[in-house]
Amino acid sequence: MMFTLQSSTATAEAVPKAAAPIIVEANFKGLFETYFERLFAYSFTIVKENAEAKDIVQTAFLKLWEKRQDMELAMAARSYLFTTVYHASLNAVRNRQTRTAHHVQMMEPETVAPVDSATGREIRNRIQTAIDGLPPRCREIFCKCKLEGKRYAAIAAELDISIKTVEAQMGKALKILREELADLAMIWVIFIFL
Amino acid sequence: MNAINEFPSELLSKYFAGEANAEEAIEVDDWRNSPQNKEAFEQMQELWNRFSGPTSMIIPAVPDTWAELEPQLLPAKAPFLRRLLLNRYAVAAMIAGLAVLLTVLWLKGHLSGMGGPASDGVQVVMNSSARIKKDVLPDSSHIVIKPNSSVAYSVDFNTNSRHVLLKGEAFFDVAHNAGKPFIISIGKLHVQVIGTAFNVRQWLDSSHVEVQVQSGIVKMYTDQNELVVNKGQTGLYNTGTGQLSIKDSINVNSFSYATRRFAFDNYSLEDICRYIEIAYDVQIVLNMTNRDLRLSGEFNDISLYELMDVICTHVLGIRFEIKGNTVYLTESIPFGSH
Repeated sequence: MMFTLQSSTATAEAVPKAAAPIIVEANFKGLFETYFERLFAYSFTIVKENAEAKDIVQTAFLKLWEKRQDMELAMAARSYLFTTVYHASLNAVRNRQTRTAHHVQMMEPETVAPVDSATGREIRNRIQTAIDGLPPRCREIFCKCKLEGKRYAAIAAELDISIKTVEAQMGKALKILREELADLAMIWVIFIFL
Repeated sequence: MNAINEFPSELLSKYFAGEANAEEAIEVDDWRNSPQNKEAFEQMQELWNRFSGPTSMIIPAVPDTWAELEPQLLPAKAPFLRRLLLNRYAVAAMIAGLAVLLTVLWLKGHLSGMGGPASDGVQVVMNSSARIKKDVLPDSSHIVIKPNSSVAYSVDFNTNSRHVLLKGEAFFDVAHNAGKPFIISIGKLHVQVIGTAFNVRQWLDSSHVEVQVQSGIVKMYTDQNELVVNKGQTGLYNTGTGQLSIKDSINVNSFSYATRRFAFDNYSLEDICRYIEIAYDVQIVLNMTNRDLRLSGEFNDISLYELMDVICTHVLGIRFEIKGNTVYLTESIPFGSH
């Protein structure tokens, strides 16, 4: 990562700890405070469970602590954390006995958690409309991923297309939805915090 | 990293769908850290979660989670510095100055003659001469000490960590050892090494300590704050205020005494000669009327003869002669005159 203030002639104040390569031990709490939430969010995207994600991230930090004297590691603490969380998250999903590897939950047409208010309904409708408005192939792939909870590889196999195509279509979906719902996102955020 | 301004739809959709690997997740992390993207990211995350499956994400409170984790972190060993300071000899040495340092050295030499190093001895490499002094530490790190400077370390240097005390100025070329941190202390300032070659200079008036990093990374720290200095940067510590600041450049010439690497940017001949004198331990005599000659050039640890040849013969058009430890520079005699 980079220093935030740079100039060949100016001097800058000491850099915020999180932005620079760090010594693990002296900076451990700061590391934790900076990265816990992001790592949690990342793990959650894979495991889709709060308790599991928390355990995974805590364990990753513990492992980092145990290796704190390793200087090479110190320079790549963030990388180590993300990699550890990634592998642990995949393992957690693989090891699930009682659940299937992907969440097969057929969502109702109303894909948004219902909110009882005119605004809530309106928002739901707009989101639904936006999804319906996606180009057919794009919509199909998006729904398989989001609604059926299928992984990219599974979708690719099912539709006999490449994973790259799935990636591209998902990207397209996000882009279109974002544009369609740009103002909505703002409204929604305000709505949440009222 | 490319296009902060572009919206990386594919990458982000991959991330939200739980398909991003660690590298990609880090890319996302970088992207969302940029101030203009932060909001967009959070909106996207919010939007995506609206379509969510059975569970919605609830991020645990950081302070509570930290409180759970902290007790499991096994405490570190007592820092070496404290052990060194508690050592009676070392404390006496630092307070009383040179005379006592010398006494310690003598004592240790005396004691160790009885077999086995004293476990609480202090080794000092002192340079009170007018020339640079080179030495090798027990871990094979090389140091070059400037005049009127000293480097002290305990006899159990290189057991759990490598700790030295510096007064004055020295250049450190630190042997890589991931398991044993290399730490230099000057008063309240500590410089911890992650990489390799760098120069630590305590200003003559003791008002500042300057660390220039030639290669590798070091961390400067006190009780209050810290600063990481990367290759090509200079860290500055103000002894009075305790503040640390960074400059995004180094002056390779200031530690050319150790490296024999120079980067002259329109320097005067006189200044250049001063650097060369220290680095090669010679004296340069300028027998010239025109002293205002200037030179730009980079030199990378070449022999004295080569250096003088390039500078004098090829660039400035003057003559040089090396006699023992002295170099004489004179103006060229123009062709055809006597």
